[in-house]
Amino acid sequence: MRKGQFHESVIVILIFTIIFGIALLGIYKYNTNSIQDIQNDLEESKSGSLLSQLPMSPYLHYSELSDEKEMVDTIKLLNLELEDLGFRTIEVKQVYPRVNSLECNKETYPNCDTYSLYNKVKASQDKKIISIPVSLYFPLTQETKIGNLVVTTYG
Amino acid sequence: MAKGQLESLGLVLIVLLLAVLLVFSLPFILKEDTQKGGDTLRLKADALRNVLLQTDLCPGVTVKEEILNCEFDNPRCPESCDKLGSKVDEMIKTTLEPNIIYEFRVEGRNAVKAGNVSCLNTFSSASQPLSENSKVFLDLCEK
Repeated sequence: MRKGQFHESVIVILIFTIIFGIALLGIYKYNTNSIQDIQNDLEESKSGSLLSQLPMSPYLHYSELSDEKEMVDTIKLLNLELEDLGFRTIEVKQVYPRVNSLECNKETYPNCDTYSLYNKVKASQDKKIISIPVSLYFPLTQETKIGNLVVTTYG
Repeated sequence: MAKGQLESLGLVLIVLLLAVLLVFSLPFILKEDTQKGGDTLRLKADALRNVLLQTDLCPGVTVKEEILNCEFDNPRCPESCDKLGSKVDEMIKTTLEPNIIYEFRVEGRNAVKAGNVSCLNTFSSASQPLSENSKVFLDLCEK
């Protein structure tokens, strides 16, 4: 082997090693991100399920003497305690007609707009908010208004 | 063909191969997000259609009841038949996020329309018949 050829081979091997190292690092990063993405997707699909199931669950659903309506009973919202659902917040916000921007409790009801159903916040910048419109029923006045069920998922 | 020309040809081929791979992989990368957003929008469209029809337009009268009342020229809320579209429009605007475009329409004797959808990827709620002649439709899409 000539001296020039030897140098060329060393340079080629060096460049190849560097490229191989970068590729390995890239694959490692990609795998780590994939696992994180899968976890986030799982949490998001859980939130999606909550969004479609909660309004019809007996915890929120309005019914009177077997007369079932596709509405959320606002009195039930005041005393609701949901089991552990991971790092997310769930709230119902009245949007139509607009009312005072206040947290709802026994004192402020019904002149308030936000019912907090579940609150377990994670100190993370990564959060995803999804919402769905729901009918809010006020049994005392027999009125039906519009609200949004909002689920915030923390990554 | 000279050695230099052959090398250039090889390089061009590699670049072309990478470009082709990228073009084929792009639809798969982009498809997932559209699907996710679509599922939420479809769910939202169905929920919003139900919610709107159940909401009180005036004390004791829901939007659904008033649409039917207007069909038979017998409104129970003041000026509601003329302003039904704008009332529904106001309800939808306060409910949806600003980046969602909508179109609510009632097809029948007393047609009502709110909003206007002009996107390629539109998600529609299932149509809801109110009477023999009238049906409610709601279409949503993202800006």
